[in-house]
Amino acid sequence: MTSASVKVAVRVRPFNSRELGRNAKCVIQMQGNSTCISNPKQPKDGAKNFTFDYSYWSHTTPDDQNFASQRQVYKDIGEEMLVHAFEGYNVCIFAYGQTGAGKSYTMMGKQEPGQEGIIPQLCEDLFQRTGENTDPDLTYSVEVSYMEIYCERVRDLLNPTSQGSLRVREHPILGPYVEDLSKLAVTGFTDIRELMDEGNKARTVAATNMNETSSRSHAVFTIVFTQKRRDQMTSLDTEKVSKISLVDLAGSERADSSGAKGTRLKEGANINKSLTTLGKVISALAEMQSNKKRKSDFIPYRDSVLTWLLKENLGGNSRTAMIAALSPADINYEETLSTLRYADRAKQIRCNAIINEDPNAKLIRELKAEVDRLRNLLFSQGLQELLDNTGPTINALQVGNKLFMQLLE
Amino acid sequence: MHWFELAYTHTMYYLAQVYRNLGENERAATYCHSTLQRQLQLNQFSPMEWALNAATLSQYYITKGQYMEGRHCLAAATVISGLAGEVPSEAAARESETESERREQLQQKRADIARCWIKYCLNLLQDAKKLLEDNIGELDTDRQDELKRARRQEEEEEEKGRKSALLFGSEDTFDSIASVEEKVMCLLPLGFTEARAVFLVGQNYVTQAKEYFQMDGYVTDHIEILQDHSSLFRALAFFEEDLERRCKMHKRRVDMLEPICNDLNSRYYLLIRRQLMFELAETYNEMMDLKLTLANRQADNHSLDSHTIKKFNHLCSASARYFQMFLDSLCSPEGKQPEHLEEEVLRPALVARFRVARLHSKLISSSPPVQLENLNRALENYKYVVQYCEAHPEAAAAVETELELSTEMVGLLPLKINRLKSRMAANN
Repeated sequence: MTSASVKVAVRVRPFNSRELGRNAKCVIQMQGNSTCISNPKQPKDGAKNFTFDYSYWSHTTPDDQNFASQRQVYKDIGEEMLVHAFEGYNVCIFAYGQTGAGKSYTMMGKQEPGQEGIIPQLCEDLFQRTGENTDPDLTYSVEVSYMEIYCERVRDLLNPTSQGSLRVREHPILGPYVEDLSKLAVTGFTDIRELMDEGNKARTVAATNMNETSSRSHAVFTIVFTQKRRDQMTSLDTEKVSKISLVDLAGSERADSSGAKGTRLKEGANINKSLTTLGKVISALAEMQSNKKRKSDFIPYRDSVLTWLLKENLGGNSRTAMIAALSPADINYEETLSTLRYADRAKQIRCNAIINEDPNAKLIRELKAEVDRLRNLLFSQGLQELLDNTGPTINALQVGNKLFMQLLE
Repeated sequence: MHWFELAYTHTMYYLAQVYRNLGENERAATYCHSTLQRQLQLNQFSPMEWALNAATLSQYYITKGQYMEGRHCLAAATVISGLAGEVPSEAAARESETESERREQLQQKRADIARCWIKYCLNLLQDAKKLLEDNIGELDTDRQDELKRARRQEEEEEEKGRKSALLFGSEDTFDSIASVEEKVMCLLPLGFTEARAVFLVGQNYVTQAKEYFQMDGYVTDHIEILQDHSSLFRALAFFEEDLERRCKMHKRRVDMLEPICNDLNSRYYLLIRRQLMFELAETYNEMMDLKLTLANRQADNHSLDSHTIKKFNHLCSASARYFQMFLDSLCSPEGKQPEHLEEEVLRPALVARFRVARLHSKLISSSPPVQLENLNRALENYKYVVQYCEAHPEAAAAVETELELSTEMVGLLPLKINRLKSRMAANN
């Protein structure tokens, strides 16, 4: 996987009870790493095809040989990320999709054998590998954080009674961090399991108080993994620190940014409310323009906390993977198509830090002049001398021939 | 009547969206502009939100080179953001979370508007440079004279344009907006005096923006502002005729960016560091060239004194060192060079190799073994460019000219190296 782009997988789940109750039809088909969705209202239209790094068919049951299990998803995506973390890279896995499409199942799963999601499997694997270590010079430490982002407010799920929203900051040496976020040391998988459970409970409780479902917030589980190696000869410690971010995104049905959903606008709108997206329209204009030139504009809208978090994970020394969860049902066609399109665009996400190069016309001209000077100088020494030198004679002949050709022109 | 006015404004807004979705940006921008104008006239706006929208719209105009409209949006943004009231004091912010948030919001948004102004000044200078430069990037005095002559006509058109343009504001604000506009020109600067005036306005906004976006807390934003400041210097240097003063401007850039580049944690800020390294490498190179030109002008014959040589070599090595640092940053955590260069770094990486090669062949030394070492390093790097492009043919398109010259040098340098070796052998 290239460092600069996102690895994208999609996964379709079985029908849920609501869909079964409404006699839903399956609009998703998968073949290899391609996913195909057909429009239930326009069966004559051709189905839309998408290709990803992985298309996981989890619509049926394990007896189906095409079935993609929790284990398989971990093996393909989670394990690779863990290996990268051991190498010293920062990694990020995030789950995207409509509420109920299976994001949390993929990321957390259930506490039953074979049903555990990526996060518990990754943690278990992490401690398995560190447990296998017999080298006394190599020590590990693992710390975890668990936070929730709701309406741009950050909450510490491992310390949910803390007041107010936590601020997201950057420090030149310490890097980007969330102020006052708990970072708890853990020594084994059981510790992590307990903390995750506590954190998950804190999510639900808060959600009830807010009269919103927890599907409206993003949950970010972070593991900071430090590998310390002591060099016996020098007694010096070298440290490799990697950050593993596991993100369960809010239900994507709220992520539509056009704001132009019919019913909202018709509600005797107060001008400020419906024009909140004027800013987005304007910034989209400015962004589209600037793609043609060097990026020399500035769009003064704070990136969301989530974008900040994800931006940190794109490019250079990071690896990112996205799993998009899909409902198989025709009644969710619009949302599912939207998720597929989003996942398709995610394949294009690249790091943004372009290197702006000064134009080097002057330098090129100088160098061309030097090449000419060098050629003339060597030529004026006589071809014989060139051939006498203990240099690579083939090169000498090539140069000689070139000069000779110039004479003939 | 009131409802009707609101509905009309909404219609403008919907049209803006429609045209944007149709890809007709110009019309969309006009409708955005109209929407903003009506919000002001009807007094239906929240000051900071309006100001940010106007500042963002200015960025659209700037990328299209419409500086008069851009300036108007920014001036209006500045004036209207002032209507949002005083920033709550630190004491008030400590007392209440709402006040604390309000303080953050106001300061941040005003700093954001300052950053839009920086881009205005920077783009104005850069566009002027593009118009005035010759084919090797120096100021073309003939073109400058030509444009100065055409200026009077431009000024008349500007006046006409202003009268017909959609102006923001109400009775109270028209004057305030105009007085902010008067502080900076909207025509392309054609000489040093005008360029310097624009530069100073930009620099002023840099100071403002940095007050809020401090390094501790806002690393990325702070550095972007510094990069803009550095670009302002670079743009101004183009207009400066005196080479010594020009060199001093580049030195300011180095002094600003070098400590940052070295202090940043590379694990978290790898991409930013790469940008800084590349810019520092180019700036040192620029200074090296200027020093050489200056020295050659002073000396009648071509011999340089030892002090100048030392200075020249220092700048030359510094440039090579930063290009090398950039190349090293592409390695894996274990320190291995990448076998395949990603699209974003392909050209910069090959250009860096090319530049390192060139810089090594420019180093001045009276010691033959040192000269030999330098030439070998140069050859090594030219060879890398040629070999990489052979192994990855699609890369050649990104570095056509550099590849051509590298191929030449790979052919010619061994001969120069061998002559040097023979001389060394003969002298022993």
